[in-house]
Amino acid sequence: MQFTKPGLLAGLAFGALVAATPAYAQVTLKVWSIDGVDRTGIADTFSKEFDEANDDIVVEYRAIPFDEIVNETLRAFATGNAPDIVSFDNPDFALFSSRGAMLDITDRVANSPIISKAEYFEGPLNSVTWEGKLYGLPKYTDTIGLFYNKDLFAKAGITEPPSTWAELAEDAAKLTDPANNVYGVTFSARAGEEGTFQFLPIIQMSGGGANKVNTEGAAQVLDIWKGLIDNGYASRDVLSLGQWDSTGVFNSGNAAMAISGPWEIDRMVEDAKFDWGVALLPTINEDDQKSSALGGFNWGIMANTQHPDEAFRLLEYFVEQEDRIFPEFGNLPARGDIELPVTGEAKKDAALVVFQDQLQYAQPRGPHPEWQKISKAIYDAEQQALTGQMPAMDALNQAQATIDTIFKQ
Amino acid sequence: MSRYFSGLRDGIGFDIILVGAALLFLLALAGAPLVYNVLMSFQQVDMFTLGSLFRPAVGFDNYVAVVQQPEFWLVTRNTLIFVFGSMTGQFVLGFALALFFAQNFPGASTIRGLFLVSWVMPGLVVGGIWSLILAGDYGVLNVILRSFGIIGSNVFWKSDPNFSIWAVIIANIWLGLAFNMLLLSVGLAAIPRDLYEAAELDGANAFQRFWTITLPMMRSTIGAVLSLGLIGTLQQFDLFPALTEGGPANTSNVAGYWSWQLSFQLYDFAKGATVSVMMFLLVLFASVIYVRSTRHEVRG
Amino acid sequence: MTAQIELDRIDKHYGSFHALKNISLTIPKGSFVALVGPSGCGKSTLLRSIAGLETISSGRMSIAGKEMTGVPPRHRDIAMVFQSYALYPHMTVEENLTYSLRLHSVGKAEARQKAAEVAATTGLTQLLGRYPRQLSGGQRQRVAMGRAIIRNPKAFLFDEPLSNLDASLRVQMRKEIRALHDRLGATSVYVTHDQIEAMTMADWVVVMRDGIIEQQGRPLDLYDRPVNRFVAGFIGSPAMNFLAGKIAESGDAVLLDAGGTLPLARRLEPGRAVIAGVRPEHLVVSKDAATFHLDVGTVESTGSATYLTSQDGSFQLVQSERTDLAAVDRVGLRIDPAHVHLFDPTTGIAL
Repeated sequence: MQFTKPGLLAGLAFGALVAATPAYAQVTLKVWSIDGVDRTGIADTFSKEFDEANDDIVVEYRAIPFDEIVNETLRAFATGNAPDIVSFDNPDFALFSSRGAMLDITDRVANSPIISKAEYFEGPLNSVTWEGKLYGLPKYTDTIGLFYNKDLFAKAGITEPPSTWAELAEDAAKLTDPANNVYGVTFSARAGEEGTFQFLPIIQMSGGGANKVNTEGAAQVLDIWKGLIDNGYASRDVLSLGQWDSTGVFNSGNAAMAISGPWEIDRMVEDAKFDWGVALLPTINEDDQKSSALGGFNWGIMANTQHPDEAFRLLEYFVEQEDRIFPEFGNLPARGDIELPVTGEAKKDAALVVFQDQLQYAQPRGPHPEWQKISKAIYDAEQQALTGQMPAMDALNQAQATIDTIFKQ
Repeated sequence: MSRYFSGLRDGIGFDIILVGAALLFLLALAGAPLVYNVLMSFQQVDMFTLGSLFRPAVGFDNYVAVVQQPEFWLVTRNTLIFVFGSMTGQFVLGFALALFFAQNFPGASTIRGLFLVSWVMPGLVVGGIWSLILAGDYGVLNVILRSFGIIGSNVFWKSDPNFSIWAVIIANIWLGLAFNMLLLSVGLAAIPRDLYEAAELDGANAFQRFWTITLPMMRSTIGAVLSLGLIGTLQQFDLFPALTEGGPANTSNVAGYWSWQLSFQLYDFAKGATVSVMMFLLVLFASVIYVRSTRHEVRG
Repeated sequence: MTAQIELDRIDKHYGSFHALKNISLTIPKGSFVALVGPSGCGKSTLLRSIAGLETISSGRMSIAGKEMTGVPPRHRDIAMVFQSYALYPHMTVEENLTYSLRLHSVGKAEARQKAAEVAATTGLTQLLGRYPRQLSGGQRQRVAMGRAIIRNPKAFLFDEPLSNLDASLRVQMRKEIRALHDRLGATSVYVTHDQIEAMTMADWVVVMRDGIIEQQGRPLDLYDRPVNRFVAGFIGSPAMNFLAGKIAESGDAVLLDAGGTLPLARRLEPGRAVIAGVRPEHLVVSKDAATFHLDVGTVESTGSATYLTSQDGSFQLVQSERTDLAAVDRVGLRIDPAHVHLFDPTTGIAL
């Protein structure tokens, strides 16, 4: 809390100045996000609009590449040059919120006429919450489901997409056709966040979570996945393919099923020369708890801002515009009260309905300030099991040991 | 005072000023970050203390913690394989190419110039290209190896724990080949032609000429190439995110990439600094060996 | 005397450049042959062809009776002393000397023994442990020679070995090389652009120009009876003077275009245009019996000899007596008719 004191004093001093010269007082807000690095996105567009619409506030927007935004913000925060508003990938948010680097906006949100906390999906909201307090708002959300090639399913005589992992393995066996270079299924088990992103839902389905990864169910699914690779129903390269490349295999007709997310829909409409659909992520047993990954970014106001009121106004403006983010940028709002407009593209509309449904089950990664270490333990274990370097349960136990030391600190 | 100025005029004092200036720059530019890094490896670092120099000291806790990481020995083993594999490949192939292009056949210098492409290209781009070449299902390398009957089924270079480190080594050899070849070509060109003619008349065959003339005459060049190769290989970063991200399960993770992962992906700056200090000690050890092995060399 | 090196109609092309044109040459065993000529005449190319360092385009060659066309240098058993010496910089003098022995797996003790012997012959005994860069030019020259000697090869090839030495050392080394040759009874081929080296060292001189052999023979034969104007001008120092003229009515004298006559010891077709060649050292200053004149430009004396050069610089004479002639003097000259050479003005061939 020591960091808010000088901020408060400065705020007071500045407030006095504002009072003295109301006509010319201008507040400058710094906004950082990854939008605008390679294409126009939510943050840069809305920041510019707000800047132009408000004479008393200048918004300085800075686009920072995905790989650098956390480090850049850490450094800026440590040296006192942090932005007023910043947007992080949701698992990175807890690193800042848990250490008091983000402004507590619980009360402001409760009093806001624009923002309604109740409308947000539970998963995204959890990722901006730390110890019961709200430190930010979801910007947009993502999840993953099971894409399947309806033509290949028909050819193999399968009528319904699988609902359990065991069924998926059976179907994959039937769908695999080495003569035509067709794998049964593709997914991403890469050594990185993408690997964890696709595997954590399995742990969550089996009753585990970030703090408990060595569940029977997770080991069971890992064995099924290993079987998929060893039998040639899935390419061994799922261990190095990212989600984008993995889905590309599906789009080219070389895999009959793919685990991926709604960000792929537009490319798939364009590239896939077959009929396809989306199903919910399979579960371990029929009628088991469903789960899925939670992607997407969050907003937050940094704790050492000198203009919390103006920053919150900007945040409200962002939230106000959220009905535009799907039509304009293709991002899914993290709220249940925004109807997605019908696009007229049948496969896309059908897919979006499934993903909207899937989003109810999406659970955040963490939140935990040391999420990335937990994540590495998880994807390392996943890869050790899938490559046969360790039995699945041993690999998960080793990850659990690492995770225990992280939680004990 | 007058003695000082006469010293300047005589050139002795002036020498000291020049050397001093260079040393000062060296200390400021190379020394300071090094000291900062070493300091950091003995401290507890978090986001609030990231910008300060003096942080709570923790003794050797970071070192103990790094060694106790389950992947520590795997990464150490991989680092050694990566360094020896890459350096051997780069050096042997680079030397072979340098000798090949030293034959001065028509177009030799033009083709040699084309090899510079690999050096000019950013590592990430090279990594991307090799990622396609080494892909398991549709990679060009597998197609070639299959067509020659060397392999029966596809090798998943990037995903098979037995091959993943070699996937990065292959790409790294290609990346460093031009640099090795160029330096060695320069060394070769500096050997007078008549030495070979004299040796030929003395009865030396091609292999004997290489062994008794080329290699000893190239000694200092080879020393430089190997030291730079060691540094370049330990520094290699771009290929890892592009090819394997150190996976599967750290089987292709090396100290340099691990250090980056710890610092900038896991935000554990102290452990990242600790690993880089360990790497620094490794380089220091290697350079001491190099310096000792060349100390008694008489230069021609 | 048997032939040690035989060259039979050798040709060498570098692309469109014809470097050696139909060269045939027999080098007898034990002889010292000098290849001499202006730069670019092909003498070094010929030497390197003998060594096998250049592949010939056509023709055949044999060394000691064995066919050598296309045989790589290391199987020719010949030694070469390079202009740059080509000493191995990373080896001591002893290692340089024994390099070829070690290649042929001669025992260590025997190699050392041989190195010691050669070092004694060439005066290198004190320097065996040194590296080439620690030696003077003359010492390096000796190492290069020693390296050649130690193998007892079928022939020694020298490629302008003295051109990097200063004048006095050059004269000394000239003698040493020749003495070494005689002592070893070796066969030597020596390339030089310096006709004095060729004349003093060799017992057979081959004059080359533009890839062909102009004339070969014993040194004094070349001096006395050059077959053409080029050889006449190349051999001898200072160079032969050439004067245009035509045969007098009497047929036994040359009427010089510049005025005056030269007596001849034979009769030629009157009125024929000729180039007369007279060596500077054969001209005699004469007051009474002068047949032509020289307008003196410069007078240089070395003490032992005096050099007179004409005003236009085209004409020179040497006389062994001291002279008190001033620069502007016109002097009368005479010459022994036996010393007048005649050449055809168009072909340059001796008449």
